[in-house]
Amino acid sequence: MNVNARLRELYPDSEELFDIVLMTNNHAQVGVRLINSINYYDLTIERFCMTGGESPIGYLKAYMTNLYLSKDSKKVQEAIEEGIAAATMFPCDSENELSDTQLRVAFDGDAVLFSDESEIIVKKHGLDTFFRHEKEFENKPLAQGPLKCFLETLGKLQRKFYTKNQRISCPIRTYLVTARSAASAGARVLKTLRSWGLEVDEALFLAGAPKGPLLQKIKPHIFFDDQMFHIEGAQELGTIAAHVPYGIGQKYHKGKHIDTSDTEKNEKI
Amino acid sequence: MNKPLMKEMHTFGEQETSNQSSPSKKPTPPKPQNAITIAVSSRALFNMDREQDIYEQQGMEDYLKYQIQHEIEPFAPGPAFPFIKAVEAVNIRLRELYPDSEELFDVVLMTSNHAHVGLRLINSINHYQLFIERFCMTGGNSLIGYLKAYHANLYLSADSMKVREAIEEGIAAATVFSPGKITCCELSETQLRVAFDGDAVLFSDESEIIYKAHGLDKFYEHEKAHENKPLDHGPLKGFLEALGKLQQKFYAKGQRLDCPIRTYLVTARSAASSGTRALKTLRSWGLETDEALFLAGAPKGPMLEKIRPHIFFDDQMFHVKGAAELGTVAAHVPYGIAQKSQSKTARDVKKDMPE
Repeated sequence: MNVNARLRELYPDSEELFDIVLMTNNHAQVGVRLINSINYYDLTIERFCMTGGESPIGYLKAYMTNLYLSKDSKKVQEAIEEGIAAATMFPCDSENELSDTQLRVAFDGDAVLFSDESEIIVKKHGLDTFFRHEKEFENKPLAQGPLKCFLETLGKLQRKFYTKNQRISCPIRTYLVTARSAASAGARVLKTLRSWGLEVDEALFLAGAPKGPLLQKIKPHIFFDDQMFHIEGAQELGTIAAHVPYGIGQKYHKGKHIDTSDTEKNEKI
Repeated sequence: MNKPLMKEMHTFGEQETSNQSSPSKKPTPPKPQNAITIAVSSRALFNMDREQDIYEQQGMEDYLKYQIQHEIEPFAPGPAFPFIKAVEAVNIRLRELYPDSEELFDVVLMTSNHAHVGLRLINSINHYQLFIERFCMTGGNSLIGYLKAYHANLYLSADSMKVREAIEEGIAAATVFSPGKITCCELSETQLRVAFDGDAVLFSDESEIIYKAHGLDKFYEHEKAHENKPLDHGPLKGFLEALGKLQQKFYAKGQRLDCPIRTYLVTARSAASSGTRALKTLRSWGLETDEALFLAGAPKGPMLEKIRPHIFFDDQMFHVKGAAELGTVAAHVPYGIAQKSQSKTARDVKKDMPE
């Protein structure tokens, strides 16, 4: 919302802003309390869909939703399957202090920004084949992942600040935090982003080091990853993490193949 | 933990213990908390002088454009390059002796460059077959947080401002300078040699303060009087300690004579008048250096030329320059009282180029 305030300053007539919609399958009875809470925190959420138990997917599409956040992993899964960028929120016990002037969004690479094609190779054939494969196909862009478009929209808004000479104080900052190894597998990632005309402000290649400590330093408002292992690692050190239930990573947990039936939480958001 | 019957699959990025026989098996980088992490900046590792000029004279956009246009051209080696190569050679020996241990060097590229330059850096690293898999490209932001997150044991950079920030945050850091003559080819490829100044590098600057405030004689008196009181530690004591730990691993396997790490103390102190306290301090810390040279004020340059260290740490630019003139890769540690009395030359003041 702070970003919106900055955008309105620079472009008073533009409609290219963030629009937040409350999408809940709560019953309309809960609406009043929700409205009161929203006003209490001075949030600007004027659009509501209270579906009273029905699926929100249709409405998500009608609103041309760029990103759907929910605590209910089933709904998130449904949304992903319908091609909508979505993630399951996992709050943490002790949050790091977050900036209130700069929106920081951190993304995992494979199966979040990019498709899971390379991850499939790691799982089936191991790291070495993966490195060889990535080197061979260095110049062939990876297919896109579920959150690529959201990065794209963030980039579009960022450019609006750059054209008004506000690159250094841009209130949006994006981070790539990937377990990939830079020299062995990093080139393809950077080339893919470039071929899409996208960029991230900071790129961290971890070569398998834990993501938690670095995220703790970045202090993103949200961090998207497809693997629960990394989500948990982030949470433990105070980062708000969101799980993107996409790709082959869903069938594995900490390297072990798991049953395909999800454990679902039937919470109302 | 019971393993599944089928072949163990690995999560992306977890430690690899593949039992596949693949022709060129790349070793996995160790976990940061187990390893000796050396963070190096792109300008310390590679020579980016021409690119720096473009950045300073023509600005960021032209700089980025240039980098992208020359992406497939690897950079020439920079001042820290031989050091990093030697560090990797030590890792190879360590892996031979201790194949399952994670107590290794881990080199991280820590740069405030933008991700656009990443490809050229990756291509250069692969060209020289360096093993640098961890990158932090901060696009202009401060690196300090990441240095701490990686538990960096040493940070080498060409940017003195960043180094100063790191030292203030308690991270061992030094500004590397290119030697006057090219000596990369004369440095050992099988033995990592690291030379340290004493005061304000391994030790605190307490004695240097006395020397500067009251002169040499008072300094000698003081050192003799406090001979048995260990000096406080300086910014690079931790790094010497880390090197010592790795050296012990070679000694334990009977390889003291051909240990691939060798450390040197090169101090302007006078041995008889003030050397004892330095040696006793090291002993009290359980540390040692392989060689100790007390120069009593003689210039360090010629000695270092003989030692041929991959890097030499000193807190005084006077010594750093002297060393560089005679071909030693010297690194300035901006700590202690000596910083206040140094005149800044054009080389010290580096513009805030992303590096």
